[in-house]
Amino acid sequence: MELNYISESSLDELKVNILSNIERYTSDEVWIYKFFEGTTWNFPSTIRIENIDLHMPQSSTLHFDFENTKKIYTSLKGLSVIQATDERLWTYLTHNTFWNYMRKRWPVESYLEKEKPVEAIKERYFFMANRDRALIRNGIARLWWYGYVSYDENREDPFELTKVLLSKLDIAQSLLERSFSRNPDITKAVLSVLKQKELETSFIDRENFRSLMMYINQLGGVTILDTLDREDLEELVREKIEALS
Amino acid sequence: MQINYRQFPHPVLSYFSDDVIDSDFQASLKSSKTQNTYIFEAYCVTSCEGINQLIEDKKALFAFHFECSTTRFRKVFTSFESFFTFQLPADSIEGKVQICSFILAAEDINNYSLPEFHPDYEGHSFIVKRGDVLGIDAERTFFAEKEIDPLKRIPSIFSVQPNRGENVIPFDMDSSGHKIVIKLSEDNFEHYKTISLNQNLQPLLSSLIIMPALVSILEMIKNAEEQDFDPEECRWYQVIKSRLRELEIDVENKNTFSDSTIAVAQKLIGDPLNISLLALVNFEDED
Repeated sequence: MELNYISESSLDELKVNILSNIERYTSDEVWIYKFFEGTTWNFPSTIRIENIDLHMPQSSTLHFDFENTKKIYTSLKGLSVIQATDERLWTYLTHNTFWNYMRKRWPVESYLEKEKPVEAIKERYFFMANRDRALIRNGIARLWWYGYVSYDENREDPFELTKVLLSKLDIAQSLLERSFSRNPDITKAVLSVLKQKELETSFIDRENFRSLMMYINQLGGVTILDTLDREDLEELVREKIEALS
Repeated sequence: MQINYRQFPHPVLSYFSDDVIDSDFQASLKSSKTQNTYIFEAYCVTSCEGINQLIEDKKALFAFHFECSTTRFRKVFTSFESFFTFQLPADSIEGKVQICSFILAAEDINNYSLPEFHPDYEGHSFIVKRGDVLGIDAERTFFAEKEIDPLKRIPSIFSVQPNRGENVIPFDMDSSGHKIVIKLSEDNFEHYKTISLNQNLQPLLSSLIIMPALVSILEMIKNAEEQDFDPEECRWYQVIKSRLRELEIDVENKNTFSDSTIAVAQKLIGDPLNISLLALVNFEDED
């Protein structure tokens, strides 16, 4: 399978026309070829990958984010960070390659009642203006980034922490929208302790998890957490979780 | 990482407090780039003898903290030496990179006390943990270019696109991406396309389309309106900022931005009005 990019000018045009294309966004057929008929709107990258067959979401709760993260990240592990931050690549994938998946996972019909449907489409099918959040909001890019921040090849199952990240409690969103999570050691330390706690059957509820996130954020104002090693970070997280429980 | 005038639980040597008196900390950073790597040369110096002693005893160290929101890159580089170099792969950062410089505790210190502490702290010592901030210099921003300056010309930061909806605004713009996208209604876009084929009429398009958009952008920059995005992260902003610098306008120093935005826009893209009017006069004569 070829991995293509949408051209920059076509990306601009597509974004300008979200509102006038809203009906197209509710179509089950891929419409982007017709929209750009007669123009060269995409070009191939140098990346070749196996076909990716994503699990189709069954409902808003049964969405197979973990399984699909494994598929996307395994196939696209070779992407550089710069490639993985390129809106042109992910927009091509959301509008073409994975259109059927996008229709099931992020159906635009559900945005039509919202105050700003265009912004909602921009968030899931393109990149939103906030560049940091954009990566974990785009319907396909998020799956790659979930894998990138949690994949640990030192584990027997390298996706063990990914499973924790996508398990429950909005962990992915609460964690990845904090700036400390940009350091993979800190992110993995949090996930690793959550995994241990899960094995010890101690239940961490949503409120405690959010308190933990706030605590790490506040601590980061005094201590540069990035200087600490994984063991120290895990100890710090463990102590706080125990204090919260 | 953004450093605020926050309250630390222990005295911190900084430019915004007098916790540590008659002392300062300065960190400088010089960058260069090879094809695949950014190389940074760091030089840190503090006049605080107490901290210098801690560094000599390997109880404190100098640190530069890098954070790039575009690529989610975040890393700290540390050294016990005043002068040190470090590198990072060129493809790990892009766009705006925030850099903070610190003096950090290299180990837990149970009785942190310096002769230079403000007299208010006399007789007190503090517990600091490894990684705790002992000193801060001003935060700085580094802009990592993806390519070697491909968008230096002002008109190239604009992208004119057709807005195909019904009842759309005839002329609008969106500056939340890397380019400033000018949105023209379909009619207007068709006319724009036709006119753009005629080289002699290009200045007319600049006057009618680029100029008002640029003035609007300059107004936004000049008045530093609250945005729901950070323009620093947009490539167009970096281009305009660097071109303004050539005109000795510093966007962070409003005193240098006293000319009207119309005057500044003309300095940035030339005087398309004059050429446009001339073209129209000639057009009239031909009739």
